[in-house]
Amino acid sequence: MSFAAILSLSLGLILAENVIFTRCFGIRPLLGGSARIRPALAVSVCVALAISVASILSWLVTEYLLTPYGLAAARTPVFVLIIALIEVVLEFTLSRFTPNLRALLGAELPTAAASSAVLGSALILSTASTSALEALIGGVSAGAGFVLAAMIFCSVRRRIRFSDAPASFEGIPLALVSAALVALAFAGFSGISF
Amino acid sequence: MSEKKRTVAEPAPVEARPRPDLPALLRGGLFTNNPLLVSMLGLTLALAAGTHGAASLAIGVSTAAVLLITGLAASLFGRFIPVKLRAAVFTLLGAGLTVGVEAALGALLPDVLASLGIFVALISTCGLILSRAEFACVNPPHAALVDALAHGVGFTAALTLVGVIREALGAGTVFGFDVTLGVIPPALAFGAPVGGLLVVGLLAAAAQKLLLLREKKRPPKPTEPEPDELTEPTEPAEAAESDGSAGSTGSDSPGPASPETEEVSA
Repeated sequence: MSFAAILSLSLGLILAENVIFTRCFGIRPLLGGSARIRPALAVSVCVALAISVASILSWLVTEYLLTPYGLAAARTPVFVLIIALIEVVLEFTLSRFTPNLRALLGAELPTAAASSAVLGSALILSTASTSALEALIGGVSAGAGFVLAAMIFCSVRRRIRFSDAPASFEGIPLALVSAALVALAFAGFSGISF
Repeated sequence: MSEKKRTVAEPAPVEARPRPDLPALLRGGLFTNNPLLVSMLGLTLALAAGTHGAASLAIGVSTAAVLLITGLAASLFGRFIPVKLRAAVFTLLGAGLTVGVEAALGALLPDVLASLGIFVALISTCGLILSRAEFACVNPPHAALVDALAHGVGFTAALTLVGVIREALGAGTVFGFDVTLGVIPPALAFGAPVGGLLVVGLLAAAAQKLLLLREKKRPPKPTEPEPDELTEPTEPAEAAESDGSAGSTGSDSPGPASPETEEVSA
């Protein structure tokens, strides 16, 4: 792959086809909970890591196991199994080597890492990529796009946290409408081809 | 998560467990705890797949089918599965079931399956499946089935409503029939995530308003002068609700958003 192709692939996945605001994968964990930056950053980096590893692994499994044996229809359970394994490894590594970081993540990690962001990216990248390198770059870019979008939205939620919203909009409805506005900003990238 | 810990710690004394209140379960899944509009479960499906009425209906019914089977399985076998493994086991079961759903849709409605793409597979990671499986693990099968049915129907109804609104505003059709009367230009943004988030957000606000009216109690707010608190928050709230309900009839209420979004995407 040429440098230009890599740049166009990764910028496209980060901005134009952002995991959260263009594809709408895994938006639920961002809407609730605390709007603190550090835990949100830690969780989203973990999810990004899971997206990257899941994308390359699922591409390899599709290419060398599922397609040759005609099992492409059963890819969803296989990918879910891969993601569960990644999650176990991530959980073990974090609690073994960085207990402080693990404590910062709280109970959010298991649900966040199993979110549709990981499975959705793995499903899309495993079919769209033509080489292992492309799947790896795609996974890393999708993960970076996830971190970017999560940080932007976390900051937005910090700004609206003390706003005096109407009772019917308090909480998640307001978060949804503000997510719509951020999605509008991301929609601006969709016309640009990198 | 705290709920899970509590339910897991408790189930030892069987006789102490209250009998499941089936009408309350039905009410909860259909209205007061509606999966999409109150608990915000299955949001990915609603935003990404719920762009058209027919697609929404199909994904809702598929989710309800998966929900019923995982609920029954969780109720029958959940107690034998270690707590830490439950989430993985039920997600995996859901993923296996989506393969069946894909095959069934491919045989019966190939066009619909083609329009849904990978979203059938994403049913397995939908929060709705896990949350109902957790409930079913500590409840008898009939309660789990009623609960899964109520949540499945509630989810399908809410998702179809979202899909119909987005289809009417974004494509000018409802289940494929033209409703624009040649007057209202469709706003493509309603087929995009922007429109989905906006429609779900407004409907969720309407649902929250209805729940607030039902409970006749206000959420605790910081102290403010009385008149402000009484007049100000209610007016925009009602306006918002009428936005949400007017949006369902396809009128021009979310109009201000649409020219803006068209401008940006153009």
